[in-house]
Amino acid sequence: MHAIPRRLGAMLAGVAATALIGITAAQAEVTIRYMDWKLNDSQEIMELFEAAALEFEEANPDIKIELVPAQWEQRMQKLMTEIQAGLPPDVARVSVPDMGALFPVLQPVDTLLEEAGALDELEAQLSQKFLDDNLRRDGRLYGVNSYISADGLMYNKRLFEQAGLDPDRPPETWDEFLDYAKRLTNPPETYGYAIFGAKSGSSARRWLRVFWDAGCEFISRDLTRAALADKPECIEAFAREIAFDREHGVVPPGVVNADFEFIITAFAQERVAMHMGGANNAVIADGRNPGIIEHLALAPMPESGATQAGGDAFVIPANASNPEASAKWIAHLMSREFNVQQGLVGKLRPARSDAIEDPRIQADPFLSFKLAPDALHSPYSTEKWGQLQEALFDMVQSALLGDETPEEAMRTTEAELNRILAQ
Amino acid sequence: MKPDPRIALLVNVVVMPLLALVLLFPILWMFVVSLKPEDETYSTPLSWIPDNPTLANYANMWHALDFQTYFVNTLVVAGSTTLLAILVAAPAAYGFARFRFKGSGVLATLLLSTQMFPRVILIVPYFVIMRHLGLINTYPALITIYLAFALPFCVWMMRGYFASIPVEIDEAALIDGCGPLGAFFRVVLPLCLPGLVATAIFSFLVGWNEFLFALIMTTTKDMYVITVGLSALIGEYKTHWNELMAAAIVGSLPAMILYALLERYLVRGLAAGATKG
Amino acid sequence: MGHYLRYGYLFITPAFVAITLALIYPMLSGMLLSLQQVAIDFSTTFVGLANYEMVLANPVFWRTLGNTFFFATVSTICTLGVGLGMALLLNYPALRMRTLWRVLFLMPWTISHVAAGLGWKWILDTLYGVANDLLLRIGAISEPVLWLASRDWALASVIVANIWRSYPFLMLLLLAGLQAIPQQQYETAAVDGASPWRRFIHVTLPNLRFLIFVGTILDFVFNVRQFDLIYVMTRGGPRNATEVLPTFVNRLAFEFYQYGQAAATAVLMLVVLMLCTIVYMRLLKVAREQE
Repeated sequence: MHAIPRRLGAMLAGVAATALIGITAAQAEVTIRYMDWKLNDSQEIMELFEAAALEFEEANPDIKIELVPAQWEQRMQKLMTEIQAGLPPDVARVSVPDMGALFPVLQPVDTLLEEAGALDELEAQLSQKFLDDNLRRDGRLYGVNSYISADGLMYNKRLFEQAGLDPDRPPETWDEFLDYAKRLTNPPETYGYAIFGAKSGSSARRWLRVFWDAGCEFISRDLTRAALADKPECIEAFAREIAFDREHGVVPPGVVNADFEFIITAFAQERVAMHMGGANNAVIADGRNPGIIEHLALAPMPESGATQAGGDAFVIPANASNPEASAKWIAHLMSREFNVQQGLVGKLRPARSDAIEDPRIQADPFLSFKLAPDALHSPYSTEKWGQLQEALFDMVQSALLGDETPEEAMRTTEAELNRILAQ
Repeated sequence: MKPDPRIALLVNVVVMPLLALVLLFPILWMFVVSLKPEDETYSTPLSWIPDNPTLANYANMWHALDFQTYFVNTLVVAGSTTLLAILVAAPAAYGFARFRFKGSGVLATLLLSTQMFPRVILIVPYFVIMRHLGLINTYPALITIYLAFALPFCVWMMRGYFASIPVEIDEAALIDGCGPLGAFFRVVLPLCLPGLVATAIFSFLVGWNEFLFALIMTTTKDMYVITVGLSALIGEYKTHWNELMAAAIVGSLPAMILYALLERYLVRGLAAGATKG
Repeated sequence: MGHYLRYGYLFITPAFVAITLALIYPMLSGMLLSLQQVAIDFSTTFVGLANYEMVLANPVFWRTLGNTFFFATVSTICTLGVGLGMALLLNYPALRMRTLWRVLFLMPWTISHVAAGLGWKWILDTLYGVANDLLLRIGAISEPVLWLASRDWALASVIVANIWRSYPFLMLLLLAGLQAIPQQQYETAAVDGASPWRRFIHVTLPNLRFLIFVGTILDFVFNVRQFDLIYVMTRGGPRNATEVLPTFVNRLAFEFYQYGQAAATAVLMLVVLMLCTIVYMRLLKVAREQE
């Protein structure tokens, strides 16, 4: 019977504690939950953001920052679940291809950033094309990007030399490219080129590049129909890419399983001489095989010269509760200095043009790699992107596995894309 | 019926060691990879015994990842799940085993069928419920979910074990003046130790190994469990294979020890549970 | 016994309440979604059976259903084979260091599916995997096998990893069954001059029959529900070669944002599985009555 008074006491204590927390909470600050998969990338990135949060909290004593690292693979699942259940993060970093699905659950950031006094500066410093294509919808801006990862032809100068090729003269046409690739291939030790055959977001943009470089689109920009086989050049470009593996054998085996991990490792181990990648690829390769970075170079892709870009966006969910404070935090992350810092620590090519000009960024040949003028192609902003991407990889893998010829695969996919888009 | 000594020798000296090598090879290999520095992992031909063995992967994984926090969290969650599962499942299993009441057969089948629903569909409902209860990012959220996952199987398994205990024992206890509750707790339950242990191990592992729900229900690093911590090693651009393997080995150790210690009970508990099910 | 029966309800009430609140309720609210169109902002509209129609009209669903049954059936049969073989060995009368072997052979069961999947993925890696390294060294192959990258091998590879992870369950179960067989039955058979094979068929198997039935049904349910291992190893690829219902449901819900269709698929999976179980239970009952 003694238990009951004791329990009552515990309950009273609980109520008192809750009330106390309630009072302190009322006095004090809002807490901004910031979700970002990059926080898991390395200890250095985490420390950079911790320092930024401290600095921000000092300048804004009424706002607390809580850093929430997300898992790369499950980032969207986690973000979507939290938004749908009404407990969203206040600010999240998202990958640009994810934006299509996210627009309906985000709130515009333009007026918020304006109130935070950052909009004009950001509009001036960021690529308008990138913002228009990826982050603006119906005239409103739904996010701002902190980096643009520019991919080009990354190659290994040492392997070029060994194959009797001039390491300072990367191939400029696709014929030349094939010739180089063949001379660089010596199975099973080395291969000329790597193709991203496994299904993943970072593979998807490398396949879209094939169409964009040929002057084609995967689906029409108004998102109404398939466009991948509109012109003979499109079919030719896709067939050429497939032929590297199936006809010429300049690609390492297991191509449909080749994801970024597989390719960057093979590249670092000098098993692959050329691949399509950006600034951070050189650093990651160097982590796998210290010193290799000295032998790497980055060049424009053959013929089109185009480099192709991916990027991120800082966004605020529509049902987040502290948009004003959130916008201030975004403005802080988008400051010139932090943009440079994130670039240096995370090996992310800064999105701000004044950050690119910074001497610390310019000192890194990979980070300062010049974007070709027509480089900025954007993924297709639609919530159906998951399905469209599935169709893209079905086509790629069908052609790579030889189930269909490249053209047949494209025709099948054309019908499938039209079916998805008509839904 | 004496076994042929030549066959006995063959089994003891050749067959068993060879089988152990084959079947344990994946674990051995994970261990080998966990001892290699990163660059050695990617140099071919592969070294089967690390050229430069190092414990750095274990140290990195333990400190950088804050693995000890995850370890404690996992222990709390899995341990509480186990305790609660036993407390709730044992009486229920006894009820099913001893009393033929209306609908008991249907209920038992219903129990098993809950095991066949794909759990991914439950993520959003659970998140909504836990949010309404204010339990997001707390132990009770995970414990409740794992309890729900573990209970049906626990009841099912222990029901068989109780059925294997002769009814006369209950009756003797009742005659001695115990009530039905006393008969259960003081007489029957202690006889069921193997069944209880088997069930406990099962529910412990439900909590120890689950990933998806732990990921979604926890929002800060100090609440992560081991599997969620593991997944942080798979990044956008990089999978830390060596540290991943080190973490997988360390994360499996408690389960390995538990199994090794309690394996006898497991055999008996499982068998009775299944035979009379 | 009348008032005693009341205690039956008393005993099962806590579990019943817990399961209803913590499992049945979320399950029902999940199932409800299968009748709704769920927008990206999670607003819902009732659409009747439209989601079911969509799923049943989707060829990938049928392929996935086929994959699921192939994966689960082959896994279960092979797991039974390995488990029974190991149990027989562990029950061999002249075996030394019995406990040690038993503990060792139990070990794969202690590794979580996620960890096991990662381990196998790395073992089967085309370039840096030890499987290809070993086969190349002994000259069994001349170029690397694409274990997870080719359709011919991917499903088989995943099945092997799954069998490896799950055989100890059946091994322990059947070992317990073997230990319970009265020695006398074997002696009688030996006196009758039965060969080891005939003793196995006429004494061992009949005694184990019931355990085999129960063990396989549980294993089958575990296999059909297998998600972690496949997700980690192949994510259902290449070209849906290893896509099974749980990975398909996950894809529909969290990659395609077709929550309603995902829920419909889940319900269909539940129905198919329950039908299987009921048929199997009937067989079980028939088998038991024959004894």
